[in-house]
Amino acid sequence: MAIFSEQDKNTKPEGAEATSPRRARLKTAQALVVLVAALLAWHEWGNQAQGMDSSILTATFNLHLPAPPVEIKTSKSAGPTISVGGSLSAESKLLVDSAKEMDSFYAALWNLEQSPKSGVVTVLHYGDSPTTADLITGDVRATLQDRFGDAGRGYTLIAKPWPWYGHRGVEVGGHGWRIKTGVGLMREGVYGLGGASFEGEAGASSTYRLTESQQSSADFEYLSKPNGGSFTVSADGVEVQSVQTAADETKVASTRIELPAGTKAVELHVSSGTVQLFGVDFHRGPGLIYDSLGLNGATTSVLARTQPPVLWKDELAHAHPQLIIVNYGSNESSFGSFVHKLYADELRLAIERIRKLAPGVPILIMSPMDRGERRGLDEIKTMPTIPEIVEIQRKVAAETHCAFFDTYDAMGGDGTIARWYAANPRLVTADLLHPTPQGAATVAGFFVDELSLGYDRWKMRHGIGFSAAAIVAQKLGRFSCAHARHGRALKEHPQPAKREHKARRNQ
Amino acid sequence: MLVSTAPFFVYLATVCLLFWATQSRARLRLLVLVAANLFFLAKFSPVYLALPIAASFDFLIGQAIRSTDDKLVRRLLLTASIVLNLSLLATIKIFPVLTAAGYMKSLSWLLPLSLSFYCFQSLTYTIDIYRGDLEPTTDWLSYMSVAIFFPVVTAGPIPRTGKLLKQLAARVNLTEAAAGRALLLIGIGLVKKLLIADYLANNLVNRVFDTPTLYSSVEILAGVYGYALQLFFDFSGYTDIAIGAGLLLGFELPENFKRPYLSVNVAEFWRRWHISFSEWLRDYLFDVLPKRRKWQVLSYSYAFLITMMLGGLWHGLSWNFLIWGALHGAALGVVFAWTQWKVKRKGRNAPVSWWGQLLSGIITFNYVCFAWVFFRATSVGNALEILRGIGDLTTATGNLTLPLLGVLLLAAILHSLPPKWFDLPALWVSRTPFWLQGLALAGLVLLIQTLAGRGSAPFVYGNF
Repeated sequence: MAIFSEQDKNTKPEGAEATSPRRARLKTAQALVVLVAALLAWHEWGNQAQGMDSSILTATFNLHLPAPPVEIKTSKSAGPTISVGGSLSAESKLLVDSAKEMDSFYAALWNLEQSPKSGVVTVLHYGDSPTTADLITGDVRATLQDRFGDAGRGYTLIAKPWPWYGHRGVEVGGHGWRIKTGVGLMREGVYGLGGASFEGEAGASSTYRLTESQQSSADFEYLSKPNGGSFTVSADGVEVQSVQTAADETKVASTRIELPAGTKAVELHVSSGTVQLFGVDFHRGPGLIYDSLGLNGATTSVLARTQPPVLWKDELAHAHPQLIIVNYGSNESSFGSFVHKLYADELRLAIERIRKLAPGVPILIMSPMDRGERRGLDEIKTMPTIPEIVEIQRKVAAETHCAFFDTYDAMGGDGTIARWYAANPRLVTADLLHPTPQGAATVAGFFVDELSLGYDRWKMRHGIGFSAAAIVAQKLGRFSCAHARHGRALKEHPQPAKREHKARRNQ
Repeated sequence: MLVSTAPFFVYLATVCLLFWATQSRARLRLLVLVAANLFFLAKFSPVYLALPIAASFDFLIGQAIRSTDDKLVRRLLLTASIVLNLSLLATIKIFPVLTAAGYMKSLSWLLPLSLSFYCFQSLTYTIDIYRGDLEPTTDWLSYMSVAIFFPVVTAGPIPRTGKLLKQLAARVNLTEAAAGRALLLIGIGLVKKLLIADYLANNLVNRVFDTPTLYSSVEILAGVYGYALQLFFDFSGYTDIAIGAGLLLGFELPENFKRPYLSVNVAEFWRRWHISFSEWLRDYLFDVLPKRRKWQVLSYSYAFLITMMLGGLWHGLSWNFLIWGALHGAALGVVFAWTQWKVKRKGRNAPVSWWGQLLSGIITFNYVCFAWVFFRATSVGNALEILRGIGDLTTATGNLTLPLLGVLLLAAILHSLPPKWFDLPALWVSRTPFWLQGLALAGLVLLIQTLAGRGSAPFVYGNF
C-alpha cells in the first residue's frame, strides 16, 4: 500500500519542527536503543515467552552454513503396497505387544488369507479429528484391503456432522438432521457405533454416492423405539425398501438392504414421524473392513463416559470387530493439568469399558501424532504434553495388556512437526496438528509396516509361511521373510530376495 | 534473516548506528554499507559472497558501454550483461526444479535465497546506460552499496540502480520527519505481515489449499479471497519494512502497492500491484517486443501475453505460474482491445457510470482471485481441486470462525484506506520524543507477540 501521499515525501510535514540532521540521527538512535532495551527487559523480567532473548544479539552476528534439512522419516511401504523391511527377530519398539494381545487379530488375518472367500475381519478405529476426515484410516484401509480383500467401505455416519467429515469412497451429503455427539460432554447419551446420532422428521434425507468400488449391501443402524417413524432407502433413485423404526422397546436395530448391482448412489428419506439413525455400513463381500470412527474435538472421555453401555454393547456385537483401535490424545494435549492428573485414569476407564462390552476383542492404543506450537519469533516446537501423553498411553497399555502403537516416535519424535511443516510437500497443515494427505499417507505407511511386521512375527512364532532357511537367515538379520511371500516387495528389495531364492534352492 | 524477525531489526539498528556515526566520512560510510550488504547475504549462505563478482562485471560493463561509441561493441557488452544476469536467474530458478527431481538433492539447502530481485535491478543499470539514460558510476564502492542493497535484495521493491546511485551521491540527511515515517512504516509492515498475513495463512489459506476436499465451497472461496489479502499484506508488509529501512539509511525506495484490489480492470491492477515489477516488465521487456501499427490490437495482445507469461515463469518454472501469467496476459489484451474500441466509439474522455465502475471492480477482483488460485496452488491438479470445490456449491461455514471473519473484514478495510490517512500519524510519530517512540514500537512488538503468537512465516515473495 502506498501509505504516504506523493507530495509529502519530499516536503517537510506541516508543523514539523526544523531539526538538524545530527539531532534527528541522535533521536532515532536513542529510540532504537530504547526499543531493544525494552524488549530485552520485558523478556528478562516480564514474560520469558515474549520480548527479545539476549541471545538474539549474538545470534544476529553469527555466520554459519545453512544446515542441510533433517531427513524426514518415511514409511517403508510409502504407498499402497506392503513391504516389510524391518527385523522379525526383535520386538518392535513402535508396535508394543508384550501381552500378545494382537494374536487373535493376526489369526483372523491368517484365516482370511488362507480362505479369502470365507469371512470378514473388522477393525474399528476410534479417534479424534485426524481420524474424522478418513485420511490416515483411509490409507490404512486401502493398503490392508489390497492385501486381505475389500469387504466394503464400512461404517459411515448418516450425514456430515462437520464439513471436514469424510469417508473415502463414499460422498456423504444430507440435510434436515439434528446431530448430536458426545464430544465435550461427560455424561452418557444415545449414540451409535460412530459416536453420533442423527434425528430427523419427514423431509430429512441423506445421499451416499459410491465413488470407488461397488457395494453389495448397506446396513442402516438406527434406534427402534415406541412411536418411531419410518424411512425409505433408494438405490439410484429407485426405492428398494421402507423401514419402520417403531418397536415395543428402545434398542439399537439394524436393517440390511441389498443393493442392486452397479448402484452408484444410495438415498435415505425420512418418510414419516421422527427417526433416529446412527450410521450406514457398506459391505461388498469377504475381506477386511476398516471402520474410521473419528469425532471432531473428541477425547478419550467419549469412550470412557459418553457412549451408552447397553446400546454400545449391541452395536459392538453387531459390528463383530477383531480389533479395536483407541486413537486419542491430540485434543487432550491442550490441557496440561488434565494430562498430568487425570488422563491415565480416563484412559484406563475407556479400556475397562471396552473390555467389558466387547470381551475378548483385542485393543490397540494408538498414540497421537506429534503436535506443534509456535514459540518465540520463528520456532515451531513439539507441545510438551504430547510426549507425556504418549508415555501415559504406553504405561496404561502395558498395565491393561493392550497393544500400543507409538505414532509419535514412528514419525521421528520430538521436533517432527517442525520438519513436517517445512517439508515439500508439506506433511502437516498450518494448525500443526492435522496431517495433509501426504502426511496421512506417511503415518498410514508407518502403521501398516508395523502391523505387517507384527503379523509376520506371529506367523514366525507359529511356524507359518516361512521356510527353515528363511527363518535361519532371518535370525541372522539378513532379510525380511515377508519378501518371500510378496512378489511386489521383491522388486523393491531385489538383493535380499535373490538371497532368499538362493537359500530356497539350496534347501 | 527474515526482515520481520528480531535478528533483522537488531542488525538494521546496528547498521544504522554505524552508518550515522560515519555520516561525515563519505568513504567510510560506503564501506559500512557494502559490509552490511555482504554480511546480510552471508547470513543466508556464505555462497552468496560470490555475488559481488557478478555485480563487478556489471559495474565494468557499464563503464565499457559508456566508453565506446561502436554500436556493435556496445550491443555485445549489453548482451554479455543480459546473459550473465539471466544465467544467474536461470540457475536460481532451475536449481530447485533439479533438486525436486532428485538431482543434486544433497545440495538443495545450499541456495536458500532467490536472487531474482538482484538480477532485475542489475539489468536496469546496464540497460539504462546502453540507452543513454544513465551515466555509469566510476566508484566501485558506491556501486556495491546500491547493487546489493540489503533491504531490497531478498524481495524488492526493484529500484532502478541509477536512481539509488543519485540518492547516494546526494548524501540525503535523515530528518525527524523521515525517521518518523520510517518507524511508522516499519510498525505498519510488522502488523501487516505478522498480524494479518500470517494469521490468514495459518488459520485459513494454508488449510484450504493443503486439503481442499475437507472444506465447503463457501469456505474454499473464503480461502481464495483470504489468499488475495494474505499475499497483499505479506508482500506490502515486507515492502513497508524495506522502504522504512531504506529511509533510515537515506534512500527513497519505490512504492510497490496502491490499493490494487480497487482496480476496475486488469491493466489498472498492474499499475497498482507490485508496481516496481510491472514497470520493469513494461520498460525492459514489453517495450522491446516488436509491435505493428497495422495490427495494433493483435500485436499488443501478443506482447502482453508473452510479457506476462515470462513474468509468470519468473516466479517459478511450473505450469501454475505459466497459466497465471497467461491469464493476466490474456486479460491485458482484452482490456487493451476494449479500450481501443471504446475510444473509437465514444472518445477518450467518455464518462463511466458508477455502477459500471462497481461492476468492473467486482469482475476484476474476482478474475484476479481466480488467477491467484493457480499462483498459490501446489500444482495444476491442486488448482483444479480448489475450483472444483468452489463449483460444488456447498454452503457449510463451520470453519469460518468469528475471529477469522473479523480479520478478513479488517484486512479488506485496511487495504482500502486512502494513503492520505497515514500522513497525520507519521507527523505524530516524528514529533514524539525518542523514549516514547522506542517504547511505542516495543509495545507494538509485544502486542503482536500476544495476538499472533505464532512466529513469522517466510515472506511469500522471498521465494521468487
